[in-house]
Amino acid sequence: MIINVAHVNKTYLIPQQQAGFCGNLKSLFFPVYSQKSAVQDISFSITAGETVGIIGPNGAGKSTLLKMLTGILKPDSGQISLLGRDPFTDRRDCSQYIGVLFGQKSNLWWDLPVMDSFNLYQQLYQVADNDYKRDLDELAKIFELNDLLTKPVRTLSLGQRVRCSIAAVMLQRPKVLFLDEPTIALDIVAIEQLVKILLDMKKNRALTIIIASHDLAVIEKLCNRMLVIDKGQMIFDGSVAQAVEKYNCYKKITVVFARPITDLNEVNIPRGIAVQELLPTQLKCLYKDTVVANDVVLKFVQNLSYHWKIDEFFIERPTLNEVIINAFRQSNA
Amino acid sequence: MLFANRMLSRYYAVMRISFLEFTAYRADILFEFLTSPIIFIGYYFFFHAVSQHNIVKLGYSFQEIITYYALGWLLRMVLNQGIDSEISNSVITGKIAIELLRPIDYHYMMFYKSVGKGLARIIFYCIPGIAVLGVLVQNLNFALTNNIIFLLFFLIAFYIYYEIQFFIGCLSFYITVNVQITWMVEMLLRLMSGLVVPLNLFPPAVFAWLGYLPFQFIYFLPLKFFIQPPDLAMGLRYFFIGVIWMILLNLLNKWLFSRSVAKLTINGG
Repeated sequence: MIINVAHVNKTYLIPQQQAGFCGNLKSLFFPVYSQKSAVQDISFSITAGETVGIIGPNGAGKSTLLKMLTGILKPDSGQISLLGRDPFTDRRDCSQYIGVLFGQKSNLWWDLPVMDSFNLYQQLYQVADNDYKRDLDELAKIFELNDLLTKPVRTLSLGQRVRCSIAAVMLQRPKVLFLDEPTIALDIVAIEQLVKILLDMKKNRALTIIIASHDLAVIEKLCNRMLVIDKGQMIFDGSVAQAVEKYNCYKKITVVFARPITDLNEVNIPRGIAVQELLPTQLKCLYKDTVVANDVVLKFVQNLSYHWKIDEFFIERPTLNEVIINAFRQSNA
Repeated sequence: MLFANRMLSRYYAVMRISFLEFTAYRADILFEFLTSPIIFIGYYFFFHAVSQHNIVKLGYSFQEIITYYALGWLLRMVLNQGIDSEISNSVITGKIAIELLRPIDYHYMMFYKSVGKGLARIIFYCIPGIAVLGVLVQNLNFALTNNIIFLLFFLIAFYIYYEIQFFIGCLSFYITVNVQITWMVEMLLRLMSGLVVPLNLFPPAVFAWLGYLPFQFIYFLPLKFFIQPPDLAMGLRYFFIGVIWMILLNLLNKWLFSRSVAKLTINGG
């Protein structure tokens, strides 16, 4: 067990300040704090080699959870163990084995060429020269860094900087990799490169990866497990396929007609199939595949084709995106 | 305590990069180098006038007092590195998160960083500064005889000043340490440590009171011992008091920092 989290809670004290001059004066002398519970009673454990995606809407507590896992925030209650240690009290020990990337914080030295930062990390993490050179060559090739290495960090674009930051973390040869919004400034090509390199490392080094991201496509490609967090609570823990199954009880039929139609009065819609949307040339219906059998669906489409000429029709499983939106809706209801 | 650390090579790497960082901006170096002499010119003419009219008896000759100020402002260029605002910036921007996640101790990492910067400042400010002053001002006395004692007290001064800056920096975990606070602390330090006025020129009661504080070790004692070397007993006594202050401040900051981190919240996502 690489990570074990048991009943963790974290509450922030947030200063409340009223707008305007009087409000400002008032909060100068009588500061008012409100409590915000960022993480409530979360428990899970992660074994070596797993790739776990943490997803949730803005302010759900993903980053707070990551910061507690890496040992920079102290949980109010509950236990966290990372590689058999307490990440907060043994932070210095733990940080030797973990790599952390915050998408919106740079881990490079602003005034110096990228190479100087990389060299510093080699010495800080005591990476052997051979390993370091091999990793650097490989990363420079995949991320196209060769032209950037001698440039001062301040002259790089945001995307270039994020690519270098990711490389800097990889060069530390971590056992556990924490990525908080790694794709935030990357273009599509760079995201593909990142996914490729992470899959490579996972295979070659038995790396454990924990990603918090809004980019569900990346999560779907990389992760074999997903934690869904909403309002500080864990609402789902399981594989991507399970998530789709749990929240996606619906399948979607889309029928495209050759000519505009006005209404569906002439057709008998079977029980269990609900019309989601009727556009002039397009009909979208939802149904539960546990309730409605496939031949009923086919018969319904055939029935439609007797009345109007159909150009095409398809049945889709919803994307992970739709599944997640659905999940948040359910947890808020 | 500092050097017994087996991870010295990591700290050496930090020292190296902060040296490199210092050399990144050439204009900064030039302008900071030119700033301190401006103040020194003021002191020079002030004490020149005072000594010619023999208005007060200071207990220092003109040559001694001029050396005191010249060396004092050179010293300031090495000691004052703005560690406090650096820590405060880290906390405000949330960069502290990344710095805490390195496999080294934050308190000592910052120390070695300041050693790197200090070395750079000695090379780029002090050595040329001494050369320029030696040529322009005939009355200076940079005799080598007193340099051993000075060096010893310079090291104590460097460490104590570092710990004081780190202490102020730690306060930024609780309040927003802004330019105003940093500026006020710096002014108080200048006054209480003898950079503005040698401490024995204050009223005797104030001088005695300041003797119980660590600040006199920053400018007053190194500079005074340079121009008026102490006898062995006095030198040793102050040396031991200095070392005790170093240990006390070190322990205080260790305690304060561990408390500060426990109540840390990371700004900015």
